[in-house]
Amino acid sequence: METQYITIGILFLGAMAFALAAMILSRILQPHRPYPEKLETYECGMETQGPTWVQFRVSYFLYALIFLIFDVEAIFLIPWVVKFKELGLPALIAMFMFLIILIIGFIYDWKEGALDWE
Amino acid sequence: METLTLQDLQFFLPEVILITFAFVVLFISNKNKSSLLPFHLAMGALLGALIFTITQLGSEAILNFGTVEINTFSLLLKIVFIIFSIITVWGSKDFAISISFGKEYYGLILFATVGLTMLGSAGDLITLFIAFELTSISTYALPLIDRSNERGREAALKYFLNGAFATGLVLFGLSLVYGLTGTVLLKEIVPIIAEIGYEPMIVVALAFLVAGFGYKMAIVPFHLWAPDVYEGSPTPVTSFLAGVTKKGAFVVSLKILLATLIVIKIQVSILLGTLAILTMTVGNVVALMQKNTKRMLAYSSIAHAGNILVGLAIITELSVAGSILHIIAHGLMTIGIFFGILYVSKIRGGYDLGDFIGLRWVAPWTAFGLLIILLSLAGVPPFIGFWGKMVIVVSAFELGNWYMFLALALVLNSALSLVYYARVIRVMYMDNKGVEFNMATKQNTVIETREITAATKEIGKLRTSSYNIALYVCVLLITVTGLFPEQLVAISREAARFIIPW
Repeated sequence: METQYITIGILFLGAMAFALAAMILSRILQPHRPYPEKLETYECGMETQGPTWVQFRVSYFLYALIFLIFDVEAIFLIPWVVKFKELGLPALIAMFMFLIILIIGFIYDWKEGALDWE
Repeated sequence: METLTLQDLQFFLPEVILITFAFVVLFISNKNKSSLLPFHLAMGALLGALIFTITQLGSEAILNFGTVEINTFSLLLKIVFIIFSIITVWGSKDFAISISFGKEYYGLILFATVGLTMLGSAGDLITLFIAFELTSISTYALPLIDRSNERGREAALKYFLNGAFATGLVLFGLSLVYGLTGTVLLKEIVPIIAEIGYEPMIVVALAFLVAGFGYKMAIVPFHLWAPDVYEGSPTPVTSFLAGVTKKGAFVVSLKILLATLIVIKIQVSILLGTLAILTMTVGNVVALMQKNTKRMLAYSSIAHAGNILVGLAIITELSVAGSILHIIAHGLMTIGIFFGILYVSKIRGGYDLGDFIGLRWVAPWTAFGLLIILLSLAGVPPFIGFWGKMVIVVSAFELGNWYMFLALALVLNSALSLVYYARVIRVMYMDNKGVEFNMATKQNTVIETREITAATKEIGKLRTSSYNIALYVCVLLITVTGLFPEQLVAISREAARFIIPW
């Protein structure tokens, strides 16, 4: 049992050593001749234009969150549908409770204007 | 163990009431902002849940394949958490009217309370985790519930990021425990781990669990988020976070750690003991240097987490009972004192120690309530804060050995904490001339007195403020339970018997 952990430990140390060695070697071997063009941020080969800190509208996040809820819902629904006959009535009730709670949340979002795009 | 019958559903009645009302509260119309309807609905739901939980007292049941256990421990914690929420909701009445998300505030508190009530009764890792996450996720939005509070943004983001990170650690630890034992039921995990014996994987799992819960409990190496969050949040939210949801983390760690640490009891005991001493000392020493009472109380809350952890580190029935007792005591004291200082900040304009100058002449009853809670926090005998520490210290003396050192650290830290609690008391009761902090010139004195008279006009309106009511309710409970502790100690011991698996 212990040997399994020793393997993991050796792998861990090996991975660390590899990463460190690559960094240290490149630091030792590389020629160091910086000039302004070289130090610029690389952005698809083009010159950077405008501020790089772009802000997104918070409405995008709201939509993404609501989408996420339905995404998760679908993930739960599919295995239930596949095993629908074996699971029977209790699963049906449980799934509907789950759906009702999600739908109440969705109606709340709707009512509070999360879906209005201004 | 069998499937749910209709008869078993009565045990879920408190939770069902709370969830239903939480949804109803969310669907109240937004038109009338100053409406008290959300407040009345939330209070009604909590009182209903409390009554149904009290009627269940004394019953014992294992439901739904062992995922839910009803026993003294779970019922005691349910009642305690519901009472905490009632006091918080009662106290936040004036706060919720003043913000634009009033009904969401009550809704989130109700959802968090559902999670907390499930914590005590959860019998398997998944139910425990879901209940814990329901509490956490509901409270992530709370620091930013008052949009006009600029500092709430930083607090909310810090709380969310730290909380999410801690959840990840906890989940990883739980998955290792599951991988090792092949079951999620706490009752089955205990014998399986005892049979497997020592295994490096348990140490890894425990490291993750201690770190994850350490974040949630704000234990010292993981405490850095706590002061900023507690100071930046609106004060009613702080009282809920520090007084109620943080206690949930202690309950979960009690259940999970006690179930998993059976094989390496001594090592875990030493680890938790060291963390406890560190937490108490760092919390108290940093609190000593604070000029802002809200931040001081945040650090004091960290120090008290250390006190509770001492009981966890000793791991006997009596010490766990002491922990439960101190969880209850500290919850009451924290809620009360945060509402108390909120009232003071409303009449004096801030949370600095200077704002407490001469409070005795301005608001005598608030000052008296704060005095009692501060004494109780320091562990002065006739109040409940004393009994939790007392039971923990006695349990340490029973075992002797190096546990005596833990008890010594606890007692010394209580003495240390009295320094900064007493400073507030001195300012409230002794100084009426504003001679605090090198301002001992005559001119300063005059300014301070004028401020008092100007503020006094406002006090008439505020005297019956809900903040004061919450303070008085907490003071009453602290005094009554402190004067007659036998019942509470007995019920804590019985509760501890249920969660200690050996």
